[in-house]
Amino acid sequence: MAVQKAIPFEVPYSLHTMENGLRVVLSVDHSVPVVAVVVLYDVGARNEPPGRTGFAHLFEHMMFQGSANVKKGEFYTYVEDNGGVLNGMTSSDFTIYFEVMPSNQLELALWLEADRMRSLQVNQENLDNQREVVKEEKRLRVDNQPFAYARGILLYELAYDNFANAHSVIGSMEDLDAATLEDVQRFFRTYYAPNNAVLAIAGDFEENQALEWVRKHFGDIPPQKPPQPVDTSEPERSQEKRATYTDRLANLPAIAMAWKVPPRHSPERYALALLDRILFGGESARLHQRLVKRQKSALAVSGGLEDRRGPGLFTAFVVFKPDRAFEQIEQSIYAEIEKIQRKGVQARELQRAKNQLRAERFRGVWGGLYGLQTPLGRAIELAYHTLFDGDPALINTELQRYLQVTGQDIQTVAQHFLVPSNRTVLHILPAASGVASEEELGWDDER
Amino acid sequence: MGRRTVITSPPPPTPLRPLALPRREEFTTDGGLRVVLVEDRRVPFVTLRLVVRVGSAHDPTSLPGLAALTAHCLTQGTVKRKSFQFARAVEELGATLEAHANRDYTVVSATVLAENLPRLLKLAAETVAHPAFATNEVELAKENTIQTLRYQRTQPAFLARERYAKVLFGNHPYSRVAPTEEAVKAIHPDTLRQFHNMYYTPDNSLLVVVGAVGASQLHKRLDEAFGGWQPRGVQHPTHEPPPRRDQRTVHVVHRPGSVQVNLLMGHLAPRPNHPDFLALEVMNTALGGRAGSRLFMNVREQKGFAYDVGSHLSQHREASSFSMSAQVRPEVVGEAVTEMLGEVENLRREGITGSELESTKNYLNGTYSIQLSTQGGIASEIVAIEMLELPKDSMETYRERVRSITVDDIRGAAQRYLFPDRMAIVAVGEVDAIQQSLQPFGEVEVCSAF
Repeated sequence: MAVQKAIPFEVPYSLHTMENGLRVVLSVDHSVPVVAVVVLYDVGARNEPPGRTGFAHLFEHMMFQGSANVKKGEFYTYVEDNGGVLNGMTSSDFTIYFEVMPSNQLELALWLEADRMRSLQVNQENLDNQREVVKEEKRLRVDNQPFAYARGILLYELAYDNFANAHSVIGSMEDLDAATLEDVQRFFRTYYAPNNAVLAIAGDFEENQALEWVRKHFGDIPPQKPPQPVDTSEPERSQEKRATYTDRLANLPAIAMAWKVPPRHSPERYALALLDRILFGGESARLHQRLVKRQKSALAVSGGLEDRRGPGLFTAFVVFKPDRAFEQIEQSIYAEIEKIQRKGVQARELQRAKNQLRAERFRGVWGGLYGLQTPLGRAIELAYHTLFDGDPALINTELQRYLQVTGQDIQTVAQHFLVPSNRTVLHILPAASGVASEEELGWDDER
Repeated sequence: MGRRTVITSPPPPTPLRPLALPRREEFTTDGGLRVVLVEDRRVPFVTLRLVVRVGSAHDPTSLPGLAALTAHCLTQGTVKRKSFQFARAVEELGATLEAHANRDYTVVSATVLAENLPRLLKLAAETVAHPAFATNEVELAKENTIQTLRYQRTQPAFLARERYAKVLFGNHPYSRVAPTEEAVKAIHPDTLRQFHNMYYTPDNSLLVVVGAVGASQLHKRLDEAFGGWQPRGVQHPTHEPPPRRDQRTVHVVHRPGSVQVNLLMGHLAPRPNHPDFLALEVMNTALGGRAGSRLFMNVREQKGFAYDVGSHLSQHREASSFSMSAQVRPEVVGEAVTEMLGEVENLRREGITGSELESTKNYLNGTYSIQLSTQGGIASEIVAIEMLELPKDSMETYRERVRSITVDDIRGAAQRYLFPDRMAIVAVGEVDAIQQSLQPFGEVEVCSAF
């Protein structure tokens, strides 16, 4: 196909480091009177030792429970009553908080973030309350949903060998029950320090004014001794790992698999990201075509590169029709991978994958929230590049690295990483009661 | 730097900068397709919504799911390209294009890098004007729809939505949230073609474009792309209104193995173009539409009963609903329902305070600006205004209208439109764990998930 010339697009930014070690990255865009404030802390589930799983996420909840000058509940109301939205999210690699506000309320958002960075206040009642909330969150997201545990937790526990990488963000409820107020305080002191965080502001504001407010509110928060670095290294595997899980909430069979891949900084990840689109990037992608369309065996195919700061995974997840065999689905996935290992990829599908990557920058991968068209998307992307890569410039330059990937690079990473000895295969057997027979499916039967 | 003092009270806002509302241009193509364009060059990207006024409310009574299956098959091949070629043509542009039917209309949503817009328009035109409905594609879509239905029946949120719609809407077509297996089996390629012929016409459609393109260029490209698509005149079905409720009822959907209860409760509400709808929206936001709302602060932050709790006003052409939802552990289901109904009673009795009203208005107006900061957000708002037949200047007047709502409007709306003693309460979970706790709230009907 003919390639239309791309229209250039750059995100402006500036990076500043405060005396207390807080890195501040700013990106001005006056087109809409909206501003996004992001605070990204260098702590995630990977920092949790055994016996303390789920702690980083529980702690994220505690960050909304009050600080020296903001009472419980007021964090929400200060933001929302002034026309903004807010949230927090914890992953294995990081914990992130954001506010998106009308731009005349920038200083309010900075004050709120600074107050809880300086002086989070927790008490037993709030800790107990949020523990219950997190338990409901786990029931909602994991325990009461088909496939959620197997695909979202068990697969990772099997695929990673290092505990830091393998355990889930939501953690175990026993560990959460064991968390004490003192644990919460210690966690706060260790990780919620200005020198362990990046503050990103994007949208409609003046740089000098913003920097003045940042100094005013964050400037005297004392730095802490940098936390111990986490060892996220993964041993190499010498043989395939296989497991079977019976899912009492599922009524269709599924396969989940994962191959270990190198960390975010490694050169191979660019080729792996394009391989992701070639195998999984839409209805014309290879696995959808093979499993859903030609073989008519699968209902849904998803997966691809799960980039982490440390070693990542390349995954595949296929829900398939009950009259098909696990063996058939598995072999089909391997056959498609082997084709790439043997013959490489077509120039045309490589170009397709690159165009998809270019478009994802603007669309965002999760429903548009994080695409570069929004202040929030720009702030999050700048914060990631600053914390993970030490260089916000990558927001503009990283795309080139992807566009330079060749078909040969893709063939090489497929040959190197998507091999049997490096993979984990999980068969998920459906065991929901009452769904086995066709007659029971008609939904008028219930009256 | 010298020693600083901690600022103990929130800093004041600076002057509010005006929001330049997206400027809309409207024109009609030679073929009779009405187009709304918002030129937005902040990013070299374009977002499209091609809306056809046909939804599940247009499904014949015997064929629930027909509009959904038609929408699905639109992208599974055209008279020019087989499904793979079509998908490849879209994805090679770095574009996405998908079609989905809701109750009132079908949306073909697309996004594309700006330089590839002309080619995407041709593909969009092909899907709506010349889909193939090839036998093999339709057969596969039917088979997969049946399997997907089966899968949906394991998801508690689906089961709650399904039973709730059935109870609320009775014989009205809004009562159906998914196809039936029998209906899917009875659909043939010709059924889809006839349905498509009947409703997929330019005079029954609207194209919303937000992105890096100007009106004259777009107009020209659309005349080329949509050239062969002819107006035919469309008759829309009419329906009896959904039933009135005169008492509170409880509907337990037994889902074996559940470790949580999905609660969904409420009743009908005025339509979005009703003069009181905005007061209801403000009221709903204060009750359960945000993190600082009464339901969130009570059920989650004070009681710890739920992670997710809130309330919602649906927006449909023929009837809307007011609903509250939460997912709670079985032991507290009775207390949770009591608290949620209590918050509604409270609102009816006392309304909301002046300061709560002010902050709720600020929230609505502020988040409206945030919504209008993305192409998708602007496009969705225009689609809603057009499809729900809201006043043309709704976007321009929204914030002023929100500002004009008073505490009396809120209490009046609560008293006129909220009826805790007439709600349908749907609970999906293990029947033995929850039935007893729910008995005090009304007559309990128990049904199976399968």
